[in-house]
Amino acid sequence: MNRRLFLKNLGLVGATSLAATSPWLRTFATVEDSAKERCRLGMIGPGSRGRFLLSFLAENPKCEIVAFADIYQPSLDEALKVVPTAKTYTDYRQLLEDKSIDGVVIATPLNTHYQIAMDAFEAGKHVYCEKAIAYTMEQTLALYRRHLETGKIFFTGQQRLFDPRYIQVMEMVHQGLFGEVAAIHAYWNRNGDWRREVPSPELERLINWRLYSASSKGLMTELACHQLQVGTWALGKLPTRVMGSGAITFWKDGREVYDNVHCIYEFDDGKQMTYASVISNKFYGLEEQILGNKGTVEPERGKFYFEDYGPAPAPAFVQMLMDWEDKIWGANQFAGSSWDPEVARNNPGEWILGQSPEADGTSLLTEAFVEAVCTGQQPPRIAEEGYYATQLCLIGHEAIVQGKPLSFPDEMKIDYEPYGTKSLKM
Amino acid sequence: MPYFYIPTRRIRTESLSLLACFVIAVLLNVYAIVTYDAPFSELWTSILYVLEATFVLYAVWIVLRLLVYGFLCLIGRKPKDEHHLPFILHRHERGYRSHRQHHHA
Repeated sequence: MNRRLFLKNLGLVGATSLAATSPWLRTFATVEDSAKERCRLGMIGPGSRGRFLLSFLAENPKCEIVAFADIYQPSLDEALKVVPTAKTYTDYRQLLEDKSIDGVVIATPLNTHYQIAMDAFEAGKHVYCEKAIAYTMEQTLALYRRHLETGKIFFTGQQRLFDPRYIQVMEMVHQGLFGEVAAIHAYWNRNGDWRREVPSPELERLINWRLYSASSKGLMTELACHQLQVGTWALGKLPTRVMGSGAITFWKDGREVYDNVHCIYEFDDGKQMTYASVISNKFYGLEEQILGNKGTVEPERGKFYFEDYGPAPAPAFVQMLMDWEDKIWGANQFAGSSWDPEVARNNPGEWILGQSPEADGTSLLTEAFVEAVCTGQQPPRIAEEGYYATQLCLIGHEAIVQGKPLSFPDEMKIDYEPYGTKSLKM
Repeated sequence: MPYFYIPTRRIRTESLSLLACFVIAVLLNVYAIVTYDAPFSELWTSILYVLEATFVLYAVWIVLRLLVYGFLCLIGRKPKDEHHLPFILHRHERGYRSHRQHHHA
């Protein structure tokens, strides 16, 4: 879906409610003014995710991909098939020395994000960094501060921020269409070992970096990061306490990160967000269920469901007779309706966008980054959403590791009005 | 062969009874609509339920009257006017006589 179609479909351009819910879409307001502008980007880490981003960037007429950097030659070779004219480097610092490059896209293993992004800011580059943006909470905060200090564009790989389904449904959630949201159940289930083919044993930790604790925090940083952000976006606040549990229960193949994690994020008003990820069963796939007292949203499926769905109530006359019958003969005196099996109702729901989802927001996210680099204007709230998404997945992982509930540390809070958080020091 | 007919008064009495039952059923439906906050279109859409209720009420009324009649008979106080009883077919005096006269002739 291109930008114009996306905005047209939403019918939200200029709407004040959009400004409140998804203000980062203002990036597209400058599109006409910057029509003749171009930006030059370099990509650091054109692996599988990097090349997925590249597939959109290479199609963008406002963007020229001029260089790739990677320590793994096959990734560079694959990237050159898409952009044969680009220069290649095996050391990202050489790429950063190129003064003609405006910004970089970082899609490397998690443990390398911090140093590369910091170096990129130092080199005066705008930065798009895949999530999670850093390996530790301290690094994440330092990176965010560096973004503020340099004034350079900072995007994170939270593509749901640009997914029309999510934008539309957050409008509806914030308008109260689904009533009061008491809980969010997010989960991502797969049935696979999460491994990539390794041509030679010494490359195991390089290619399967997601499975080793030195380079990744597993399911929490690679999957939960997306979904926890949806929860805070919906509730408009930050959880105050996190508890969790995790283990390697199925894929005992030498990996060091959990293949089974469950976390509870508790908010100050008692609302809850749960996160679960199991990679030995894929039946329920992935979803972020937003549970309001009037309805439920399943944005991944692209649907919402109202609570009052079901067969029409019996005519009043029949209801009256049934009530009389209950009064005369009594209802089920031993149990009552709570003993009936309350299985999920067969509610077909309604499409959020009127049809089955076609794509996520990755193409629009990359387009927004290009637009921001061209104009030099950081879209509101996008860095902050990415910041808190990373912090939430990192603190969730920490709660699992420590085996005890953890409060969100005050020193990790930043000035972010939508979540009502204030930085203690800047 | 005996000759029976339903007197006009009986027809009127039973018709009025049935009408009264129908009115009661309609009023019950109105009460239910108000109580259960249902649309007033149910005055029409629930008409079959109302008709069913009408006949049930009428049947109950018949049973009640039969019980009263039976009880009065048991205690030897046969009611003077049987017209309050439903579907008791009265032999027409004149018709019965003429029938017998015709038979004897």
